[in-house]
Amino acid sequence: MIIFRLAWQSLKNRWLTALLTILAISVSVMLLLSVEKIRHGARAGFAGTVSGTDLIVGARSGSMQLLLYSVFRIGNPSNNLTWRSYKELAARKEVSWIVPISLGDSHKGYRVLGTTKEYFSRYKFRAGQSLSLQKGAFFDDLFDVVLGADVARDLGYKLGDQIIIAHGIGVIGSKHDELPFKVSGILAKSGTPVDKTLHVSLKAIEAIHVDWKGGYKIPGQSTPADRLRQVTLTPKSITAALVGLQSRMQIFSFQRYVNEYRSEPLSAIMPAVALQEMWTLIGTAENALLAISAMVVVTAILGMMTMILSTLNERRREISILRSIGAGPGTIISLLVSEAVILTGAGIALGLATTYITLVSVREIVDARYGLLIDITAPSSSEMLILLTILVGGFLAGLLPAWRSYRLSVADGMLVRT
Amino acid sequence: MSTTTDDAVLMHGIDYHWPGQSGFTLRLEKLSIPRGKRVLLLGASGSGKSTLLSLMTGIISPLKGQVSILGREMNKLSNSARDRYRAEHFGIVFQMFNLLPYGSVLDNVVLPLSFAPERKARAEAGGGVVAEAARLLNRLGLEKALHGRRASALSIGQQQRVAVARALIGSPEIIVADEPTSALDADRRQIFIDLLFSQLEETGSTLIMVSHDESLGASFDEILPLADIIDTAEKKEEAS
Repeated sequence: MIIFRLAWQSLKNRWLTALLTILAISVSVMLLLSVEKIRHGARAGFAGTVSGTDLIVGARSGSMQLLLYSVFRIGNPSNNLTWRSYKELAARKEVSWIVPISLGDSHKGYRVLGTTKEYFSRYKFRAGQSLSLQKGAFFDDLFDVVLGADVARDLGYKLGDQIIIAHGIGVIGSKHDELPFKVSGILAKSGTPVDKTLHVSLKAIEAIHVDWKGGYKIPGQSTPADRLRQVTLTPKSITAALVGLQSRMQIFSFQRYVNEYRSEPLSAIMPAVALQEMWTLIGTAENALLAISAMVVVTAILGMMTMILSTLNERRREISILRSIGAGPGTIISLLVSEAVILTGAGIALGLATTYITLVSVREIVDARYGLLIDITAPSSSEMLILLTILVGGFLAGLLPAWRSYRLSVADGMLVRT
Repeated sequence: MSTTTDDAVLMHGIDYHWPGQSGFTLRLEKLSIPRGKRVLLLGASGSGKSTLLSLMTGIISPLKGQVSILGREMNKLSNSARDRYRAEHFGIVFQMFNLLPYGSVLDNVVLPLSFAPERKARAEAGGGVVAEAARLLNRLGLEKALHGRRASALSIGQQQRVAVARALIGSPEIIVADEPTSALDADRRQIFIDLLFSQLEETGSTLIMVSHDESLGASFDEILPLADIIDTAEKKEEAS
């Protein structure tokens, strides 16, 4: 229709302001969509911090505490799990595999984890992905250490570097400085707390504590590294154990078995459930992020409204002319509202396109650097709903200038203003 | 329909004042303009002519009184019906700034037909809407090369002639012209008036022109000083 062709020409006449309005909307849409995508990526990544492990067993404590120290290396266990209990659990027929972990020492603020080589194949993240080596090999020698990706990057370690492990977790404190470790391998980035961990064998944890008693070094006693390689080192206790069962059906019965374990008070948690619980605690932050991006969208729409309102003065003449040749309020209002809808629609389309282009181009980098995997999928129904809401917002934002312009045209009457 | 179908325009007992603080009021006892006549309403600017034309064309409605156009009482029509009625029966030419500046000359001429199906049908009968627009433009001395141009690229005199073509297309019964020549040079005024009148011969439309220029009077059937037909008043404190 000729009137819409003229409306289009009118918009083209104001292409710079129109373009800037579209850009502002598209940037806000991009921000909102990116936050949505990152939110989902972060949630999925967090939920996938541990997978493939049916239960985590440790000394009796709350599930959150056990999860925090065994998986996130935050805080300390109230108690340990004796080696005897560990052996007993390992011997149960439901148990398919069990991996001990021993925490307590550190290196420059990063936790040192004592475990077995099986840990690297059993610890899974992101729905079944295994840890892999970026460089080198898993530990072979008693004094080999495998570094998480962040540890190696932040401290600048290379294969073959010597590392001294500190006793305890403080930065200042006594060190196991007679028994340096050698970097044998560096893990690839996983986006899990593994990245911030140094891994040594369980035996090594025992070895560096041979000459220690009650948290202090026994004065004058020093067993050389070569002697330690000869002796059989069995830990008295460990921090926790990751357990895989023969069948997932056995999880609840085995959990009950552990929780009612008689020789010492133990707890078993399902990591997936505990992770979910924890996300509800930290999930409020994502809502805040979403709220902020929603505000940005509102700002962009208000900007568009301002732009349309500010052009009304120069368009007053145009509207008077249209009124004089018989255009009713419906035509005038639909012209201005359709302009708002077109601008919003174009902004949404551009925002959508730039979001996907950006996601595709930064996905690899974000995954490698932050361990955050963003799924690139078609907009979900909730995202479509958000976009639709923005479009409706644009429509509503067009109503005010439209109504105002009609009022102006009535006030102008036959007068064509200059 | 009313009994006074001989009148193109019949207004009586009109009382109007603009909303807001300006306090401009207009009163009109009676005005009747018979069909087919060319009437010059003589008055200076500020004499209420824009208000009178707004009332006549139904852009605004009087608070009191009656406006009948071609025998139809405008106050009895809904707002949208009045807009539609204006589109069908009026061709309007303003003092200046008649055209949508970014639209082509042809689009500007054809535009009112979007709101007036009867005028559109009449224009189509003459060989198609675009052909009719081109014919009118040619008659008004705007050669074909100009038809596709943006309206803003034309001189003011050319723009006024495009506005006349727009008012005439589809042969509406009443042509209203509000100081159409005031932006033109003295020697171009008569040419413009002659062109307008020669076109009116063909359609037989009624012409109502408002001007302060008495020298145009010779061509008209009737000259009515605005001061004789309307009373206007403005609150003192708002007068600027």
